[in-house]
Amino acid sequence: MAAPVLDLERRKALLTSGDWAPYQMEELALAAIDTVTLRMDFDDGAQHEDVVAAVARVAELQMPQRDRDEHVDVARWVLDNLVNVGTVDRGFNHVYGVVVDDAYTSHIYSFKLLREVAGPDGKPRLRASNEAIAVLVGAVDIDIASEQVAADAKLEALVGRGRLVDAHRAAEMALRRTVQYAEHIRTQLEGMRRDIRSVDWIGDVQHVQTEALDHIEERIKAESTIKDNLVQIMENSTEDAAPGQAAELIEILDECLQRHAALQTNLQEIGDRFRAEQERQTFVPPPRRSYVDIGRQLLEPVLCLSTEQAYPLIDEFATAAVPPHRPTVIYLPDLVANLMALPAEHDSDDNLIIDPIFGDRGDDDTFSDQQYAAVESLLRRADADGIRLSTLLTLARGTDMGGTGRGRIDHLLALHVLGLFGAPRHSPETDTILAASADARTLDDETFAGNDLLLTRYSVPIFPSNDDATEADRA
Amino acid sequence: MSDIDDTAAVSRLLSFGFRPGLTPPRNAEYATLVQRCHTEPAFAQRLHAAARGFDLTVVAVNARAGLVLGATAETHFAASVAEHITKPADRPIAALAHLAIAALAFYRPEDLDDEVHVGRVTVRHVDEMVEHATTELERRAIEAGDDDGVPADQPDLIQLWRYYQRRNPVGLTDDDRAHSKSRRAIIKRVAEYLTNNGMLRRASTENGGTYTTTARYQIQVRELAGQKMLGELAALGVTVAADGKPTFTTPEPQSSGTPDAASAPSADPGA
Repeated sequence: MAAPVLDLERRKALLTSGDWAPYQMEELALAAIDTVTLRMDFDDGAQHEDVVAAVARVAELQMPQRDRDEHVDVARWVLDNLVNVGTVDRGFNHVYGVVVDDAYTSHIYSFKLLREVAGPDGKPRLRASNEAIAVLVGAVDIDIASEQVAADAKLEALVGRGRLVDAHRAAEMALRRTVQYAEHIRTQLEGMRRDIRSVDWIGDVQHVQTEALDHIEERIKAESTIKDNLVQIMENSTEDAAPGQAAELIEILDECLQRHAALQTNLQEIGDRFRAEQERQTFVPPPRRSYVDIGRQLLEPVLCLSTEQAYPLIDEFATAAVPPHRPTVIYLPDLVANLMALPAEHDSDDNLIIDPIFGDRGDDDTFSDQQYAAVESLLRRADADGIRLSTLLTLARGTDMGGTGRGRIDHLLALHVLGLFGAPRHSPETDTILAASADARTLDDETFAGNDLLLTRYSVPIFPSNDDATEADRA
Repeated sequence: MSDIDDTAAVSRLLSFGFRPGLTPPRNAEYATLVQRCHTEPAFAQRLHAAARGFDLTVVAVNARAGLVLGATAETHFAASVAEHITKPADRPIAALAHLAIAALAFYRPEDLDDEVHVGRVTVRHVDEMVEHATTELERRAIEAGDDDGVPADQPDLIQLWRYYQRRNPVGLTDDDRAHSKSRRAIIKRVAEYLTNNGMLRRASTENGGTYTTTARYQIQVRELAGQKMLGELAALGVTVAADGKPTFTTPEPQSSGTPDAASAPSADPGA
């Protein structure tokens, strides 16, 4: 299981991004795992940036002459490789052989060193797996509780003999054991909390609870004793180095004690939690008709099947749980186009809306300034006797606007006249009002239909009641 | 009313059934047609016949959910996971997410029965629920001393829970988006797919996305998906309730409810 860690050392030479050979990658990897292990507590994990920063500090110690950016790059690379970014499940595989019925077959064992889990805010956090802690303490498949006892005994002996340097190392080890023990109990508790109906209170829960509480009590006692011894040593010591080392030891032991206390709090609440869950889950009225219990009757059994067997079943469930839809008919030109298309880079739009980038295409004006000017000059022809829309249209079509203009100037004119029908225009210079009015005459035109509006210009009446409509329709 | 008009009305109702976002309360014509199904047995029979012609079953004609149609995997109308999840490696996770969403939305069996029950699921809780189940299975596997490797040449033999467990629930990416192969991103995609097909409704963005169930989803899971899968599991010889829970009994043929309930493949777990 240490293979991914050892592998880093081998692969550093293959990197083209820079000369990273002088870094001790194994040490950095262990530092990363160590940081995660010590940072994670009962409910939360370590943040990526914190781990990168911690590993970068170790890298800096190794190669002080290189710059800070490189240290961070190296740290990121190490962390990415421990998470195994780039693989589908972000884990490691180890192939081993077993002999079944005299035939040798190779099996794959999958494991993770650092797991990415969701923190309380939904952002990814890192937790060290049991395998990773095993790499760290150099042991596989051990009874954590007894290992913890052994670690403490060793620590006590070392402190008793005054070998503080060794004791320091042993104390750190004891702290890691404590973390591992907490992780172990946490997983057990969570399973029980969710699955109340399969839990036997007397046989299962109480047993674990008592065992864990006893263990913690002993540990707290043992660690307190060691601490007392240390304080004594500190007071009686004549060596110069001893007080400093002892102080560090006490710090580590304090953390052990704190973690044990946190675990104890969690364990003491378990009774209440169990009762609350029982109330919620068990004491409910029985169903009137028996339907499928999806969680217990479908989800759990299907999880135990192999993917090969399970997939058709759950696929069919998914099919049955969504409405039928119209089948997509393949149209050959589409198929060709799809096959030729470049693959989309992301197939998900989770959590992020990409702002569309609009090209810098200026708006094309439908009508040119020239046309506006021409229409304005036509409108100026209106006088008190009025001028018919049909006349204006003929005049407009007669003007030579050239190119694109001619086809549309009548539209612009018609729009203007229509606008004047709704909102007469007051012109301040001449103090007159330009307005269009409808009478019985219909417009006889090939493009437009409706009333042949009469456009008139008249002086402002005595009372200025036109202020609301003057500027309303310029365009 | 003439035969031809009836045929047109039945076809109209069928076409409404293909628009899962539409419900009778939102469309008067739909509501009238659904009402006719309940009052005119001949009309209901005609509807069933027409659906049969399409290789579809009428799961329910419900005043709240409208016409609920079911498709078998063999028909062209069935929507499989492969259609909305492009990467083969993600499909088992996505299909499992379908099941888990239903399991969380109708956490207790009686929730399926309760007409007014509105299930509430969040991406985070769906993931956590399956995660807990896998943790429990892991504990049992360790207690039993199971070998957790799979033959190197047959990776598909890996148990589904291990397959699920190996995926990270979340992942850090360079641009702070959800890691598209992470479990929660896949669950979210499935939930969005269900939402777009009128089975869920978006409630909020809390906990990675919160959704509530629609009446149609409840009916489809209850009458079709759940029963079908239960039958297939039984056919595989998977026995349930080894933990002292009352063993499963075949549901009695439904006495009340919609007139077409008898046509649902509900009372046939051995199919």
